[in-house]
Amino acid sequence: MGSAIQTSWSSRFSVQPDKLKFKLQPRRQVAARRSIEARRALLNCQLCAHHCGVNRIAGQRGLCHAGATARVFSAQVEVSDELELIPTFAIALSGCDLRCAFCITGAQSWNARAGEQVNLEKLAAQAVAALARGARSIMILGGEPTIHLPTALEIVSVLPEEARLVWKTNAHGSARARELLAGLFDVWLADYKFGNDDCAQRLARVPNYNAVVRENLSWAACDSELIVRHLLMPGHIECCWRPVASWLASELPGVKINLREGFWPGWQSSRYAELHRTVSTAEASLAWSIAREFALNLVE
Amino acid sequence: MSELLIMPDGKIYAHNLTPEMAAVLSALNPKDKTIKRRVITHAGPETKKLLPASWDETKSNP
Repeated sequence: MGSAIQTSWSSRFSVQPDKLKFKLQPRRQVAARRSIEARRALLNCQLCAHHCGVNRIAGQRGLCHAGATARVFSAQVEVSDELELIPTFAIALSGCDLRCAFCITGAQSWNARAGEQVNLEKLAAQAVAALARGARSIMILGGEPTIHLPTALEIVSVLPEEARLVWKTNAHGSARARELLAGLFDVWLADYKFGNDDCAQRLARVPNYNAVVRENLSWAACDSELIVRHLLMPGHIECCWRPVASWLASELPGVKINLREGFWPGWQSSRYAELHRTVSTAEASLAWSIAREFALNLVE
Repeated sequence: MSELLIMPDGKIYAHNLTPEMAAVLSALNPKDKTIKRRVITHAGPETKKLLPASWDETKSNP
């Protein structure tokens, strides 16, 4: 479990005062217990930073439109993530609390009803088989998995104890979500998409984006290994990438950063003039020079 | 399932890339180091059968 254990002992270790001994609680047990808490939290859903407060158990829907049960739209071995994580067995849950116009899985991420019902036994068997064939990690993602914390934790509760677990997130979770996640994942793979709140509001319909993401990243850097992703967007190098790079250099020096050039103008990108195209060579060059300027710890 | 976007200039964008698709893309353009790194390190025996006979795992450029 690496650094996840070192920095989140309060959530997975119990102190026995008489012997002053720390006892590790198996991850699966902790996840199973917390999944029940997370399910209860759906009665007044505060799992993401929208804090809708709807009763998802009773059928109410918040901004993510997710119900009480999660659905999975993809579960397969993939090699397109960070080299240190691949091959990864990636479990993608439908639905998201953001509305990024350029989402590459928009049809599934904007529709929490997409995909199939989660079958824990099947997913566990697939994960075990993938690990046996050489997968290095198991990744839970979306959409956004935070909105499906009860199910995500149930999935963790059936995965092998020793598996390297990756939480792939938009970093827009709430403090309550972080409490439920503490110490369970080896790696947080977190997006930092927008360097200013105007772009976040315009392209993803999310207010107060930077404060929320920064809070989550700062927390995740203490809870586990952290890899921050930034997807370069055409026309958003100076307004988005530069402030992201600057903040990461200042507040999380040395954090691993994956600067990704693979923007493609899919989903609803056509609604925004600057998103009609891919990132130009000049923009990519500028982005890399900004990364060098801030001496970022870039990973592929 | 992987998804590909092929641009008019020949650039290929991919997401949800499976090992099998990575092998196919790498075979199409063996000089692309970005994709090759994802095949060489991680392809299983079955996937490696898809690679060209000239493939050399020990070199970055075959």
